[in-house]
Amino acid sequence: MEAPLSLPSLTSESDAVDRVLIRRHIVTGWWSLLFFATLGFLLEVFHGFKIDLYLNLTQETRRLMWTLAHAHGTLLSLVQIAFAFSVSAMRVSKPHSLRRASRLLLSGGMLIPVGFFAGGVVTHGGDPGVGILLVPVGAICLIVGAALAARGFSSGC
Amino acid sequence: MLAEWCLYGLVGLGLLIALLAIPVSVGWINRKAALVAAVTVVAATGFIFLQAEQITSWEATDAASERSAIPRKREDHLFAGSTSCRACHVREYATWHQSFHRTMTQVATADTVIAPFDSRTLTRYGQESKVERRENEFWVNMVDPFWNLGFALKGKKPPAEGVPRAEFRIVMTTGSHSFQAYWYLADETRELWLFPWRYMIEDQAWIHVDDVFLQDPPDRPATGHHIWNQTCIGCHSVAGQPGLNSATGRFENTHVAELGISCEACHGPAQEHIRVNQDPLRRYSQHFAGGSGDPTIFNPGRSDQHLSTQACGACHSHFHFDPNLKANQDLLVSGHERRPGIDLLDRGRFMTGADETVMKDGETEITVSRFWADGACRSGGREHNGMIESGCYSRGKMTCLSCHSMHGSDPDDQLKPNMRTNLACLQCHQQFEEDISAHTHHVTGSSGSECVNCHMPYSSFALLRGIRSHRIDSPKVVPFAENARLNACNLCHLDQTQQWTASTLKAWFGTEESVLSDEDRTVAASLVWLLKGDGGQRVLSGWHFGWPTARHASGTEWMRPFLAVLLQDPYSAVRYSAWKALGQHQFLATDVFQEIREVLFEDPDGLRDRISEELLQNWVQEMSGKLQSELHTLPGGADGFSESAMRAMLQQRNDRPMVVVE
Repeated sequence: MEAPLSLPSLTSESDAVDRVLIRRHIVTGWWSLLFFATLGFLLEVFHGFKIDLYLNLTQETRRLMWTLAHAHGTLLSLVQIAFAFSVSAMRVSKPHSLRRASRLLLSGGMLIPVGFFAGGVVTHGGDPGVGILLVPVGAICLIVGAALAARGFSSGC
Repeated sequence: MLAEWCLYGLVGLGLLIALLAIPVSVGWINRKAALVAAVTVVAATGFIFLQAEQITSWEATDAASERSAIPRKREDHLFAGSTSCRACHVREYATWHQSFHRTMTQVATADTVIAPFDSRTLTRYGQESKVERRENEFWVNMVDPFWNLGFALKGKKPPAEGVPRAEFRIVMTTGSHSFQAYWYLADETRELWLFPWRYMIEDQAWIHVDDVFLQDPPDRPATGHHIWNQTCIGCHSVAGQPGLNSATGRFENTHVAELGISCEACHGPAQEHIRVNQDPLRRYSQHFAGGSGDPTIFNPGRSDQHLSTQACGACHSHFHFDPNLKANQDLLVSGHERRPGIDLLDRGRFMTGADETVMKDGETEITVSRFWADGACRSGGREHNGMIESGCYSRGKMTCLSCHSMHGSDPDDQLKPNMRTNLACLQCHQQFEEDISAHTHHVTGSSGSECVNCHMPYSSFALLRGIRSHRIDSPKVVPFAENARLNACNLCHLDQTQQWTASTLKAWFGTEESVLSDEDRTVAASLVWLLKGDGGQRVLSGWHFGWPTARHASGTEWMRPFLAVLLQDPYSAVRYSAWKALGQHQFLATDVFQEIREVLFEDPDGLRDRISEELLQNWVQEMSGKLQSELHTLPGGADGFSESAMRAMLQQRNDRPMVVVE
């Protein structure tokens, strides 16, 4: 009978950093998931009660932005949680790379959905409001963060 | 465009690298193999894009068979089409999409065709037309229009025997609000000819095209010469080019930017506007700039009064292109090429009352009428001619957009919210706001205190109904004469004389009284117009007999014999107005009402006239003595209604042949 799989035990300073990262991403991920899932519920309420602010024929840009905010926020919440489990499952040789990745992923995970939401508050016809500018910033953070994470986890394999 | 494609390319490349990084990182493939794969994918993608045809939304929405029949898209790439506007102008697109302007011209499909093509046969001039639906196609079987045209050009009636027939597929429609007309491909030239039957949407009935307009009744088919490519293209499409081939005399090369009246009809060509606004920095600077707006597109809402009203007036007017101008030499080839924002007066002039003309039909001279004798435009749909003569325009700031809007308005009449009330006028004439009745001398809140009922009466005519005049002026009594405009007061107070109106206007406003005839002083004005007027006067008077406001003001019992007599009018539009009024009053049993409808436009057996006489005699007997003490403005005067007096007036009816150009 084989021994059950278990997580590598955490020792040394890098392990301490890992614990911090894991906790940060788990907590952020779940709270973020709560928030953006609730936003999704709210959007469904708008549909259910046919709220003009959201459903008027002329509010297409707002609908798009807020739907994107809900979708990205929810999805990126799961990314945070996935990152936390990735850190806990992998022993890496470059923890500083993962720390940078962590900051970028957290930033991207917030900036993107918040940018979409802000862009839908005030719209200009087919253009979202200036809040949309947060989205490309967040996207860059996310992409670079993902690249750093990929590189960091690869070096630890 | 290039920047756009570069952006797409970069994003795509990034995604490809990210995708290939996964197998490289886990060791499935080495970096060299990944590089080869990336180059291959990029090359293949580029090849596919270069080979793919550009599919425009125009073509994507039309099936191959319709595409071969309807006008082709313009090839000059100035115009973008309404779907291109939607991405940025969501609200404007949505509101326009609800309007009847959008559906003015459509490809004939199961979704757009309103009339029942239920294999029924329609008969006029002894010629039968059959309408039929075959799955999702709409077909007509009719007398060969070229054969009919041959006789029409010679001014002859076609014979009843040996009539050749032809079958055509309906490919395009016009209208979706009051009427819908249908067009078929005449022959290989791609000319679209008018099927001679239209569908009345409210009445849910087919009507022959010769009965739709107020015109001297023809005794033979005047088909087939309504050609969409020539007659309708200028206003019922965007930037239409008729494409006349001068060698053949046929419209063989018709192009449009878009069917229907869409964004670029009022805002001008948009390709350049779209191109420069693909830059987000420019767009956002425009969002926050305010001011006179984007110079790359015309916005009637931000333009001066003159050009703003021309955005609508280019089509909603009687306009005469100066044939001596070079720009107007090829109208039948390249079209009007009017551009919103460019002064129409550089191309010609708006017509006036001096432009009434006469055309000859054999020996008959027919007045082609657009204006009343006082110069007010009398045809609906041409409101601009009236408006520019209004003091509200010439001395004020009024534009079409003062009351109307394409965006955010009721699709019926395109009036902005609250513009069906006195607020339309009070936005400038605030001095009347506190006590309107002091000005109108009618009870506040009553129809007499509605500004438009006095200052914009229904003295225009189109689509078989009264249309509000847009020459905003004050009621004026004009002695009865040929083509004299009907005054607002007597169009509501149908039971009163012009003398009554003149005296009242003098007492209230100090208006100078005209010299009136005995008849104008003693007989209700509406009846003078109805019995003695020309076709244009009779039809409007008849229409007002069915107008609820006038019925309320005038009572209705006395109207019946006159409506009965009007059923015998030589003009089908006049008969229709009488029939509709009879329906409004519910003077007839339903079966009689429908029976009259069947013979309203064509009555080879004289049934309509018999019914009319029977109704008249029944009512005359009922009324005899009944209203004697009540109403002294009927023919017969103080002695009460007199049928002989009525018939004497009828004998003096003005039968001048005329057609009102809509």
